[in-house]
Formats: sequence, C-alpha cells, structure tokens
Amino acid sequence: YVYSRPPPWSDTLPTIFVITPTYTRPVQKAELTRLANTFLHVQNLHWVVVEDSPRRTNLVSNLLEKAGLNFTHLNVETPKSLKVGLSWIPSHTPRGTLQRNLGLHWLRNSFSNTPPPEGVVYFADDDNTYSLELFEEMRYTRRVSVWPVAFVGGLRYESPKVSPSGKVVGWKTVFDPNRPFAIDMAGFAISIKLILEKPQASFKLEGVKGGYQETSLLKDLVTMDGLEPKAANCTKVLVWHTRTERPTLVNEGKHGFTDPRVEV
Amino acid sequence: PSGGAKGRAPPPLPTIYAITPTYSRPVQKAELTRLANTFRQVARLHWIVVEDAAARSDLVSRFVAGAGLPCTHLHVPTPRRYKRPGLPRATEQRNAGLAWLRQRHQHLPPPQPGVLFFADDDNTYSLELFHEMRTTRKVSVWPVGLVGGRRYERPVVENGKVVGWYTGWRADRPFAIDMAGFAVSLQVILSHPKAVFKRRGSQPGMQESDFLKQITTVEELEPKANNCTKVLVWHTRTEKVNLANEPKYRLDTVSIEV
Repeated sequence: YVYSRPPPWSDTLPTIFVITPTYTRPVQKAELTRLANTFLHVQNLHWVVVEDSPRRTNLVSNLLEKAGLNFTHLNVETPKSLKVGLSWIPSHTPRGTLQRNLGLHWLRNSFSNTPPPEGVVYFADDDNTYSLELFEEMRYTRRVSVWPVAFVGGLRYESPKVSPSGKVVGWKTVFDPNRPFAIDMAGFAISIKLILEKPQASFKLEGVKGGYQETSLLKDLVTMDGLEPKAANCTKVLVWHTRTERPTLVNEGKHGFTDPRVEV
Repeated sequence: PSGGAKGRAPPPLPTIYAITPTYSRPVQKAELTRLANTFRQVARLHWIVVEDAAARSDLVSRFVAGAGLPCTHLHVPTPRRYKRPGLPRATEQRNAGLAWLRQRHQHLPPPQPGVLFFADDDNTYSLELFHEMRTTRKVSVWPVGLVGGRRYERPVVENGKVVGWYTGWRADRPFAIDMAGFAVSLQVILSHPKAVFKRRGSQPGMQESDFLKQITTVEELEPKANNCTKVLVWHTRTEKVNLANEPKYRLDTVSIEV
C-alpha cells in the first residue's frame, strides 16, 4: 500500500470529477485537509476546487500542490449585489452556485475539442463527510445516479423512494417532498457525457426557492424515472451532511492577537 | 528494505497508536469514517477506539471490522456522576487505552518503540503531523489550531526548547496545552505505570497538565512542527444535527444505520 499518494491512474477506470466550492474562513484549511485525506484513497479522482474569491489564495494553492491529488484550481467571486439596468440589487445567489457553474464550465471547455473520458461529476461541499464506498457507487453512472444523504431536511437521512423494480418513484423527505428533485447536492452524480450533451444545463443563479437549487440543474438533464438508484437501492447511507461549528475566536480581540503569518 | 553492509534491514517504522474516545450520537459514524480515511493514509498506525459505553455497540463493532487499518475496540462507561457539564470528559476511555497498551507490552523488554497520542474523533489531522510525531523520544509538542478562543495555541520555543505557552486560557498551567497538541513515546508510558488522567482533585481544563506532570518536565519536551510554528492539527467541532423532522410515529419500514 502506498501511503499519502493516490492510487496510480488507470486508463480503463471512469474518472470522478469532484467539484468543491470553498471560501475563506478559519476552518477552511482543516476542511480541505480532511477532504484531501479522503480523496487520496479514490482512484481516478480529479478534484476541481473553486474558491469564492477574486483571486486564488496561497492557502488553497499550497494545499493543493502538497496534497498529491490530480486537481484544477479555479476561482470566481460571488457578487454581493447585481447590476440590473442602472441600479444595484442585493444578490440572492445561493452560496456555491457560481462556483459550481464555473466547475461545469471548465469541464465543458476542457472537452470541447477532445473526446471526454468515461466518468461522472459530483458536487462535494467541503464540510460534508464521504465514505470511500460512495465513490465506487457513483463511478459507473450512465446518466444521473442518486442515493440517500444523512442529516438533511431535519432528518437522520433523506432518500429517494425506490420501487421494487428499482426505479425512483418519489422522495422520502419531510421538507417539500413534491419538489421535482427533492434531493441534496451530495445525493447525486451526473455522467460527463450528459453534462456535455446538455451544455445549457447549469444551476440557476437567482430566484431559486429554498431547496430547489438541485432541481434547477437536474430538470434540464433527466426525469425522475431516468434516475439510477445506488447504495443498495438507496438503503445505505454513504454520505453525511455534517457541518462544522464556527470556532469562537473571542480571544483574538478587535485587532487580532495571534500572528497572522502563521497559517491556520 | 535496503541491503546495507551486513545485509540487515533498517529498523521498522515505530508504530503510532491513536487513542480515540468515542460516544454514541448521530454524527458518530461520520466522524469515525473521516478519521479512518485520514488514519489509513498513515503507515503503521494502530487505532485504539474506546467507546463510552457499557458494551460494544453494533455500529462501532461493524465499523471497526471494516475500517481498513489495525484497530483495537475497547469500551468503558463514564460513571453517571461524572457526566456533568464542566467536568472533564473521556477520562475513563483514555485511561482504558493506556491500560491496554501497558498490558500488551508488560512482558516485553525495554525500550519498546512506538508513540501514542490522543485523537478525539472530531478533530482534523494533517498527514504531516504523523511524520512529526513519529520521531518522539519522550514527549513531543506542537501547535493546535482553533482552540482556546484563538486561531491557534502553541508552545513558545527558544533555542529548540519550550520556554512558555502561547495560549488563550490559563497560561499559568504547568503544561498549557490541548489534548491534541502532544504525543508520548510508548516507553515513557510503560516506565510510568501509574500515570493516568485523573478525576480526583483535577480541575476542569487541567487534564492535560495533570497528566503530563506525571511523566515529563517542560525542559524535556521536544518541539515539533518547525519549532512549533506550523499548525498541523485543528480542534474542529461538528454541529449538532437538526432532527426536528424525525417522526415520533409511523417510522420508516426499514432500519437504516446513519
């Protein structure tokens, strides 16, 4: 076993493109570190890290260089307000949207002139927890695959409802189960082929009701009965929507106490 | 292993023992999963998982069986009278880890190679930390991120020796350091068989200091992480999950582990 390095790239295994939006805050480096430690196990994984930032930061650049993973480092800043005509209105773009769309855009650009590899795209927020098994479940997605996600919608887990014949027929959620796709961002993967086939499909930027972000993308890609249920017909939880507490930095005071040159 | 003049293999890497107290709550499996994902990237790491429980749980037993690295699964329940806010936590579990190590090595001749550290299940560890701690001769120390109300706390080092503590809380403690900020060589634990985490007479926040007092001096400490100027471990904490929508009645038809 080779430690601290990803498994060698294989020409026959489908690639998993993981798109992770991220933003600067005290726990960022910790989150990206433990994510990298997980991704190092996964063969043929390409990590697309998109910073919500006007510039690529040294913190993220250095982390990615040292991690040993295949990666692409992008950035786009979410505007606090949007110019509409002559006025500025506050932007209600949900967090991560512009970054995920940039990831899709990069993917589409990368394979505009070359044949794309077999593989999938997965949106992995930087504070969730992923089992290694999850990546093998999603690897052979034909169009769009789905599975349960823990700790969303006020439940231990939300899950697609799967018929005895293995088709998705609904959603086991308490929060708005009648959404076209009542599923969390961490609960689906899309084949690269489909992403390239439908170049207009992306996350809607504005006017998206709470819980409808995922629908805004998926509705242009697939219908419910075209979904592929994974994780033993959606009976196993392989990903958890964990959230990290904001650390109390009370002792930093107004002007900061610790040496800002020490990276945290 | 390389040949060398006499064809002898180099000594094997000292084993790192990670003692992790853990307790049942919704995020437990997630925490153990991402910890395992980190630990499995470290050569010769032996994970000692100690449940705060009267018996081994099915969840942790199944988890340990499939964890993908050498694991020892222990359990000891915290007595009810110690489960109050403000009292130190995981004392019995860490001591159980120490007891297991001592028992396992009691008949073996010194010096026994190996290093142990206390890895709480919600912290975050970089792979570099394990390189740093593996060369511990007695007790090594390093900075910890996001603790003590600060971006980081750290030992203050001058001329390669610890001379003080840069901390947000009670810097007057003999060892003003977090549980995640030190490692101890196995031999030191074996040669101090009575050194344990204390309940009696231990004030809150003094656990680490009272423990280290029994086995070392500030003078003896080995500073790691570039003379304690790099943060390689973070005291992250996970939010309590919102289960407001879990039904009291009409439960699901299947029982799914989370």
